[in-house]
Amino acid sequence: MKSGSVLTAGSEHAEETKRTRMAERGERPAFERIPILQIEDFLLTSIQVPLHDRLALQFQRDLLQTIERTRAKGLLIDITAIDVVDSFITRILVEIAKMASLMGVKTVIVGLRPEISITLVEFGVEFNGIKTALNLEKGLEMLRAWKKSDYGENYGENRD
Amino acid sequence: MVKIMVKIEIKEEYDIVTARISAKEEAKKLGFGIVDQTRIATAVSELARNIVDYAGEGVIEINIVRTEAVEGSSSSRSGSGHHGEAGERLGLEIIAADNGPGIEDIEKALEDGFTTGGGLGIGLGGVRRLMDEFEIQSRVGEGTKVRVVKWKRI
Repeated sequence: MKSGSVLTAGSEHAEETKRTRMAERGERPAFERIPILQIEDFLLTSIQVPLHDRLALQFQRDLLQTIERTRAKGLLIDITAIDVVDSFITRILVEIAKMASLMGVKTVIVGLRPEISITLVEFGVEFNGIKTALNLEKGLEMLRAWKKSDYGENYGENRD
Repeated sequence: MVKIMVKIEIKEEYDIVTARISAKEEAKKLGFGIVDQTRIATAVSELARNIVDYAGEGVIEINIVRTEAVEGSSSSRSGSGHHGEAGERLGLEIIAADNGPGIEDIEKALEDGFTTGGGLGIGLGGVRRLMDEFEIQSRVGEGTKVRVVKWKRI
């Protein structure tokens, strides 16, 4: 699965233009990356820096490739450190969950603080198709339960 | 009316982060609680992103506004806040201005689900819901100016 064409065509174009401009000035983009860790059969990632287009694209790409490589069954995204969830970030998160779902992976977003939840509801954002949990522990429980019910019969104990 | 002003030029994505961080800081300094700080920062983030996405560049101004008394109480269109009955009110005013393409149908732009870009289409309507006052002026081919205010609950 080629995962390059994720965001809108417009943002990819903007991204390219920005890169070209930076290259012309002889600058190298400062490259942050969001670490992706593995725990059990799941991937765990925590967004601790403000997401922008380029980072978001990179993040999506990294996640999908790691899913493919590790054959992870679930994805936990911790957003405790995010201070603002605007429509851009929501779109990124919804897209990630959709893409992961196409690869058979369930996504759980954890760590929505009270002020973020209040703002999201007033703002009118909907996390369509995204599961959320209070914290990492609850999120992990959700994924474990899901894995057990979904995979248990076919891949679980009876194989040993 | 006292005004202390922060002005942030919005030219690229990173400026969106700068704008919302300063807005949050100003809100905090003014004594807004964490929920209002988040509402304000989210609104600023959305307005700044509109500038980057649709106009390419523009400015965000963050002003502290103060009214002596409520007489004629400066038109609260979204009406979500009940403010102090008398005396001074403190608030944070955000002005987002650009010389971009302008908005053809403002009413439509305020509807949820309407977008000409790749967004969710809840931007402007959402901003209006998060803030106490919301005004928008736009002329096709000339630009757009959005003014929002959040008043401090007393």
